[in-house]
Formats: sequence, C-alpha cells, structure tokens
Amino acid sequence: MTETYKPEWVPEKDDDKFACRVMYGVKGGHEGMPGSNVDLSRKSAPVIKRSKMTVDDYVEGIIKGDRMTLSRAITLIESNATAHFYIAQQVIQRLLPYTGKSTRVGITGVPGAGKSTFIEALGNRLCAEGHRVAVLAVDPSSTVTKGSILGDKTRMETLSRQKNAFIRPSPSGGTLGGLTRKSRETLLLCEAAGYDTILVETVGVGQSETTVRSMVDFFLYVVITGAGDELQGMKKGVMELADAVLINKADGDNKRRAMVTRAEYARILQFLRPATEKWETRAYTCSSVTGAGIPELWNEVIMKFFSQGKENGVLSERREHQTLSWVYSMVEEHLHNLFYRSPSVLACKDKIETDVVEGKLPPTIAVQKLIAEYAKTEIGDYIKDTSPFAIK
Amino acid sequence: MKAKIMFLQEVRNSVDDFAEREGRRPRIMLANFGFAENNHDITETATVLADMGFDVDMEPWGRTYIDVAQDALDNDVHVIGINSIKGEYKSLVVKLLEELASYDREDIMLVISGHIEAHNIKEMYELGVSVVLVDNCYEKFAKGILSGLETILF
Repeated sequence: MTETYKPEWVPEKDDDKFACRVMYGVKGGHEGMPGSNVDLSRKSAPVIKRSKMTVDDYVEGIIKGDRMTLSRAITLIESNATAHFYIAQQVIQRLLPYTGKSTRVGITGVPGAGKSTFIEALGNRLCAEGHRVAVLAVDPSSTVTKGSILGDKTRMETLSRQKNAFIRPSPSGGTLGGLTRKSRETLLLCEAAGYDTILVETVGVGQSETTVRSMVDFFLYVVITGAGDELQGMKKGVMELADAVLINKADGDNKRRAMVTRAEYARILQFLRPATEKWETRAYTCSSVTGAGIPELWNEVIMKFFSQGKENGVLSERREHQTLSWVYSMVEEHLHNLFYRSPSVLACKDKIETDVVEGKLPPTIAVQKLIAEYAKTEIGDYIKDTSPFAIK
Repeated sequence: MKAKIMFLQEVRNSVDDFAEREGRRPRIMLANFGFAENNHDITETATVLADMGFDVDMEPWGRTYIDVAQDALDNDVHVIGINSIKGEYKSLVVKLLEELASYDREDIMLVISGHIEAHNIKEMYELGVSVVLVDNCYEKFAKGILSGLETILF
C-alpha cells in the first residue's frame, strides 16, 4: 500500500475522528522534474527550408509507394501556380502506365448523411481484407474568404491510423484546371502508388457530384430518412447519376423508418433510367455504426457491378468516355481562366462593374462589352505567353 | 470594430499574396490531443483562421503525437497547431518535433493556438515552437505564421 500521512490541520486530540489521509507526491521522473526522460535541451525554433523535389524524385517515390512523396505530389497537382503545373504534368505523364487498375468508387450525399462515417466503416473492412484504400475527400472552400475547413478526417479516426489507408482531404477552391483536373490526377497518383481501391467523397451540393461521377466507375448516393417524399427523389439530379442508393443510419429506432425510406426510393428508381447500361440501380440500407449491411453492399452489389461491367465491356467503355470528357472539361476550364486572367478584361472590369451596380449599364450589355474587350486581345500571343496548356 | 475589419482585410490580403506565390493557401492542421470531441476552442481557432483565408484541417480527438505527425504528412500541411494541452505539452511538443524530424520534415511549423500560461511562452519558443497565440490576438498569430512560412518556403 502507498504510504500516507495525516494532514497537519488535524487537531491532535481529535485524531481518530478524522479519516482524511494524504498521499505522498511523485518525487521525480515526471515531466519537468528531475529524472524526466524527455530531452528539453532544444533551443529556439530552427528554420529549416523545405526540401525541393525533382520529377524523378516524385516518380520514383510514388512507384515505391512512399506516402510522403505521394502526399507532396498531390500538393503539386493541387497547386495553382503555373510553375508547379509543368512539373505536375510531367509526373502524371510518366506515371500514366501504372494507373487504371483500381476500383474507383464515388460517394456523395447531403451534409450529415454519414458519408465519412460510412467510409470509415467500409475502409476498415477493406483494409482488414488486405486492400490498400485511398480516400479523397473534397470539402468546399468559402467563396467569400476563400478559406476552408477540412473536417472529414475527424470522422475517420481508426481508418486514418491504418497503414494501408491513405486519406487526403482537399479544399475545392482555386482554379487552373479546377476540381476536375485536380481530383482526377490525384486519383491517378494514388493508383500509381499502389492503392487498389479509391473512394472519392464529395458533398452533394451543386456541381461537384457531376464532376465526381465523371471520374469514378461506381457512384454511390448516401441518403438518410426523413428527407422529403417520393417527389423529391424524382427531381432530376443526383438520383439519375447513382449506381446505388444507400439509406444510412439504419440502426436502433431508425431501422424501421430506414426500411420505409428504402421502399420509397426503390419505387422511384423503377421509373428512372439507370446510370449504367445493363445495371439496375437499387436502394439498400446499412448502418455505419453497427456495420450491418456494409459487407453485403460491397460484396454483392459493388463487386458484382465490377465483375459484370468487366464482362460486358461497360466499364472499359465508361473509362474511355471519361477520358474524352476530361479533355473537354479541361478545355472549358481553360477558357474560363483565359477570360478572367485576360489583361484587357481585367483592365476594364472594375469600371463595368461599377456601372452595372449603379444602374447605368444593363447586365446583358455589360456581358457584351466584356466579351468584346476579351475578343480584342491578341489571343494567340496571349495563350503562348501565359497559358499552362501552351505547347512550348 | 472598423479597425478590426481593416485588420482582417489586411491579413486576408497577405494570405492571398502567399497563395499566389505558393500555389495554394497556407494550410494548418489543428491537432486535438485532448479528450473532448467538440472542443470549443479548436472550433473557434478553426473558424477564425478559415475566415482569414487559411485551409484548416481538423483532427479527431485523442490523437497521439505519432498519429498527428502521420496525418500532417498525409495532408501535407504547412503548420501544425496545438490547442490547449495543459500539463503534458512539453513532452508532446518535443516528441512531435522529434517525430517530424525522423521523417525529415522539420520544415513543418509547430504553433500553439490555444490557452497557454504566460510564464510558459518563453519555454515554448525554446522547445522549438514557432508562433504562440497570445491574448487571443489572431491577427498577430496569422502574421507570425505567414512570416515564418516566408523564411521556410521562399
């Protein structure tokens, strides 16, 4: 037993009336005390320059499967700086032969539908089966302040500890190829680094799910109960892009309602054209907390989709189609950049903006004026000088 | 109030300037060594920094320094922010710096973004922390981070 003593304030004559005893404190070996094993000798923060990496470093590191190189290469891909763009494209070009072998799954749903928790449950399972899983989670950037809060990892607590899992949250902000180019190329990098299952997570608000649809093989739409009636689902949009609809949070009290919701979605899906040829989009339930339904979803739905798709050639057709659409979406983004970075547009933008705000100029005429200004630029020279896509 | 907004705009401008040269926004990861899932202090720091134009990575709670270093490398952040870790901060700071050094990534800055007692600040700098948030003055904090990154990156 630890040695204790009576506190000094206990009156001597009432000794046995007080049960209070005090333990002796720690004598050493604790933090900040003599005998501590932590070396506190380090003085002032050292300034250490970030090491520079060449194209060869990136390519070799990624083929070896080095996580740190992969993460730095993704940074390079995501960079909006034109100088980084050239290096990134060289890296991609050299890694292309190593890509294309993975299972690409896109996951979308409204905020709070439980996408990240679902990925945590699914990813852990896949890792346990010996798969190498990469998770690319795109979170929106603020359009006002341009900053972002990337919180997907907070839900993937155990998955982020797995040696076989790589989770990369990315802000959606910034252009120069935009989300499409960046996520696609990030996906390719992960494939080259040897990850055989890639999960792309995105918040289903607006454009992002269409973008993700155009780069994955299987697209999963995660929904929850109590989100409107049949008609809501029949509205055109994400429902017709999905290869499976998953009703999450089917556990405890919510299980019954989840079953009802599943039946409702199943009814709607009967009327919709499936997103993939020769594949029937259906609704399923699962619980990310208890894990119920997740193995069935993976083995009997997603895996079946892939084996069937490989057999009848739908998958390879889809990938070919995606590569082509990638080219044109890059053209669109590039034109967008050309316009907004064009010096003649920038020069007259402020004036036109104030005129429109003050009501002197109708918006339609303002558009005409801006386009006219843009057309005045020597586009050929301009592209040659500033465009990252120009052939040098 | 107006002066405060001006200040914020000034910080945003320098963040934008940084983003222009670096190709991305300054990215900070707020480590959560504590045992509360929804730590109000971390939420506050995160929103303030995001409002200034930073990309802010949130971490699950109850992480070890090994997890934090690995996450920082995976996300390729510029800065790791430690928020209010009370008693055990000295060992954590030292261990985290050692862990980063073992990956040869000492260019990742370490900052303290939470409650810290005044008499500990000097010691923090001596341990290798680059910036400490003092008196909740986020403007100074952000500027400290940016000027630190300036010497590391460019």
